[in-house]
Amino acid sequence: MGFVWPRRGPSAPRARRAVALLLTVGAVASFAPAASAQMAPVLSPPVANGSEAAPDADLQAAKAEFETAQTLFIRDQYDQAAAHFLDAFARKPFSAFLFNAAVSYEKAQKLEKAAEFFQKYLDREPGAPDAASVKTRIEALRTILAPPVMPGVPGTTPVPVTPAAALPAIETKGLVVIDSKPQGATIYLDNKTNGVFAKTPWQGSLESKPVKLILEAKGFKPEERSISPRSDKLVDVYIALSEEHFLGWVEIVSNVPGADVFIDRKDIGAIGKTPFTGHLKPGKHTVFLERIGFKPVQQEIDILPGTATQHMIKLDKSDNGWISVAGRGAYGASVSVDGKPTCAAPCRSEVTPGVHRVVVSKGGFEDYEAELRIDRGAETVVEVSWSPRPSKRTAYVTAGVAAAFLGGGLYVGYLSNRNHDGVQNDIKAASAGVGTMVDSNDPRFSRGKWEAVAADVMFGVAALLAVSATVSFFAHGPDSVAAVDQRVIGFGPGVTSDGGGLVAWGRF
Amino acid sequence: MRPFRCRMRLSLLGLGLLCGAACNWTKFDDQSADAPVRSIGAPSGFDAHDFGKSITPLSTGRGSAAAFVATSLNGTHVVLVKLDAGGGVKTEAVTDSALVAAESSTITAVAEIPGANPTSLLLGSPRVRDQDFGRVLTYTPPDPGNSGMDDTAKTLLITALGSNDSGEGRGLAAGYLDGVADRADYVIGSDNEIAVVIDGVPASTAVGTTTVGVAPQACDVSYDALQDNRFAVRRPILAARLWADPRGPGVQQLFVGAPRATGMGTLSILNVVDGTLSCLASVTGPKAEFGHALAAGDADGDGVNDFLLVGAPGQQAFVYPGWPSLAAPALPPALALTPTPAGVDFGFAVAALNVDGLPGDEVLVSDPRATIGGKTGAGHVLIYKFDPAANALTQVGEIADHSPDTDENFGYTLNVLNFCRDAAAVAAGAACPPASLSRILLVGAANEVFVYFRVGDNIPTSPGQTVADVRTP
Repeated sequence: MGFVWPRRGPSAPRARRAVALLLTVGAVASFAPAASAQMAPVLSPPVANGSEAAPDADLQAAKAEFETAQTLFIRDQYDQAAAHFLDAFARKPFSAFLFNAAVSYEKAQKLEKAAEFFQKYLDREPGAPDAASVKTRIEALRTILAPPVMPGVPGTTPVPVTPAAALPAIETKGLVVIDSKPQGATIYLDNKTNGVFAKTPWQGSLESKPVKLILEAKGFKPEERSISPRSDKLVDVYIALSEEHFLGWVEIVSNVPGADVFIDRKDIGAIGKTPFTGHLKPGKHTVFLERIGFKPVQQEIDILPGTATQHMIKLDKSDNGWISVAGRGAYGASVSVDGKPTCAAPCRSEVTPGVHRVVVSKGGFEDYEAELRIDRGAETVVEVSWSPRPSKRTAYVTAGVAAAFLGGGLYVGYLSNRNHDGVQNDIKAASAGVGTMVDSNDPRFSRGKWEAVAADVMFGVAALLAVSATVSFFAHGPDSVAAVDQRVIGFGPGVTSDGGGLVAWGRF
Repeated sequence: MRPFRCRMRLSLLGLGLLCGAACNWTKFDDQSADAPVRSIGAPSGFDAHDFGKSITPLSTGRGSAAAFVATSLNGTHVVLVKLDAGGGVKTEAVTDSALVAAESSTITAVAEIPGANPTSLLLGSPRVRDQDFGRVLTYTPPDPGNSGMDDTAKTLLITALGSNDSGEGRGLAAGYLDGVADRADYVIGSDNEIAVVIDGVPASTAVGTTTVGVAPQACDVSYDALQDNRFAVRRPILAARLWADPRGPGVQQLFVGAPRATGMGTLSILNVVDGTLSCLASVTGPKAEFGHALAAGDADGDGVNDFLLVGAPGQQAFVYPGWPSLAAPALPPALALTPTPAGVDFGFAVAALNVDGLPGDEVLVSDPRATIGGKTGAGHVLIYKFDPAANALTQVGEIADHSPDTDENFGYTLNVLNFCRDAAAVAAGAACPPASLSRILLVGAANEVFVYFRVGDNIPTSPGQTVADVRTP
């Protein structure tokens, strides 16, 4: 799905993702309220890759150490301040931390250490803009620490030199950390005409004045952000760039409000009704509009990323009518019109105007059958009150008993015929002088006779039961009935005292 | 509307399929009616334990193709059973009012009084009101043309038997014994005596017409009453013609069996000459039960009885062949039948019937208590082929219930029944043409009578032979 369906509430991740798409620049300046007010809160990385920006723990720790150090520095606790600057450096090896530590040591009159860390600063960043001044300052510090001995005057003690008197004033450095997603974005300051400033990730110090950051990367939308660097701040800027092929905003309207809107496929159901608004993935889409009483319409639309478009689709009134099977209990029923299965209820079938034979069937219930007259542009709603179909259990039992009687009759009839044949064979045998002659009182006569009577009785009972079973098999209860309602709905232009507009009318 | 039509179609389709699959149960009724054996159970009101234990076949169907009488050994029940030409069964129970003279006594013996158109029966009640005296009744069933019991002739009192001669009517027979075929002669057996009523005249005073053949004559016709406890059946008296009587072909002889509870049973052969019952011969059998059942048969198929069949339920039966060739009424050497494996009451009932369709009767001997198909007391009937030339018997078949039951007692009685297939003659009450007359087998059981439509005269039953049914026109 390349669109956002406004009717459905987005899930929490999706909400975060949506916001992230709109604003992806953040800065951390919790210790500077003014800056915080200017800098937008840090937001999630872009949704393009679907991942969140994990907080940089070391950076946060370094920032905390930096803030502590600045506080101590302001309170003239320079040794402690220097230690915390170095702790911050241990977390993040930003050269500015070494510089600040050196300044702190210098303020604490620990000139050797000051010179040592100034030198480390230069070692890590020999091309720094202030490299020359730092180098000069190192030399000045070393001069103070080892004054030249006057020749011929052994044992003279150098005159102590006050650093403040010998060195120009110096302040700690602020720090700006700029990162982006994806990394490697080009950084411009204030105006792209100033040329490329750096590539992300970048950290360093900027002048303590407001500056506009411009980040660009191929395939991503350029982002801008204003920051206010200060010497006592660490400004962290993280910008997640948005991909250029983003969703497009679409609005679909029609001359008939309330038409069902389908996008690309209809089997999953309508996604809304006109007027419809929502996001769609860029590209071509097929919009279907359907409304009872009107001919369905299909239209192709093209969505451009990051654009908002409106599509007006016209619906024409239909020449057919509809049969709608609805109501409680309609689920599971099948609908056939004029002998042809049409749909599974609840459903609506479009038919030509005229009289149609409608049959609604549902398992366990009697069918509803009726001939309905369907008018043009009208929807005939059928709500069936189902009549339960009588159980066939009795029929099956009766049929079973009938079969048993039939089987019994056949068996007893077989016995009867066997008696008859046996007697006949004995008579023939005795006629030929073999065996004993059969007399008229032979028990097989009466036995065979009663067996025949019993067989006939069984046949009769079986016949009656079979008839009963047959009737039961085809027995049905009262026919299912239905409340049939015909609705006519129309739309069209209209003019009233209040003005003109779309007029809807109906017969219910 | 469409769903309703659909439901209707589906329902009708289902109903159609099921109706198509329905079974036709009436086919079993048809199949049962066409069964080669008709089983007849006790009709309503008849004692349910002895419907087949006292069966008397009638010589004509009395308006039907065949008919027989069944009585109860335990009550005053008399049923006339008629079979139509298609094998259908119709039973006519004799009402109590028609049997009022029986005084609620059991009727254990029945004999049909012969004649050109026999209609009347002799009914014997050996214990009237459970007393030691019996009574013989004449009864005319309610056949077409008759109107029930002839009250004037319903009681035939045989005074000559003596008031102390118990069990009168335990055995009955009827035939032509005096050489005159115009009127039937009655044979009445009591516990100790045999009386003959010549020409059917009640002989309460006509001593000359009543002959009593008892000891000290050579024939011991006394009846062991203990047989009642064992078998509870009628006394075996057979009026048949086995040898040529000089007075003509219609003269019959009397064969009287006298089984014993102890000792050996006897068979007496008697004759009536000049109105006098004479003992011609008597033989003591090898078994106590010898003489329990009697039948006469035609071994060579010439229409003349030529062998006597005697049952001895103690596991044997005996065939006495060759009677026509005998010069004197003496028993010929017997052929003994012993079943293998041994039965229980083999010889309890006997009959002679042409079973295989070849000339000559086969010998049928029952064992109503034999174990059949694992069912004790189920009973069966064994069929033996008698070869007169070889004077030998060979078992050729067995008859049993296809689905025997325990204590069914199949074969308790064996009888041969005349079956007339000529429906027109039957309907007209005329004599059945000989070509349409068949003799079929009746097998009585404890509570059932089996009618074998495919076992009888000229009905081949040998394997591979075509079998016809007497009901087939």
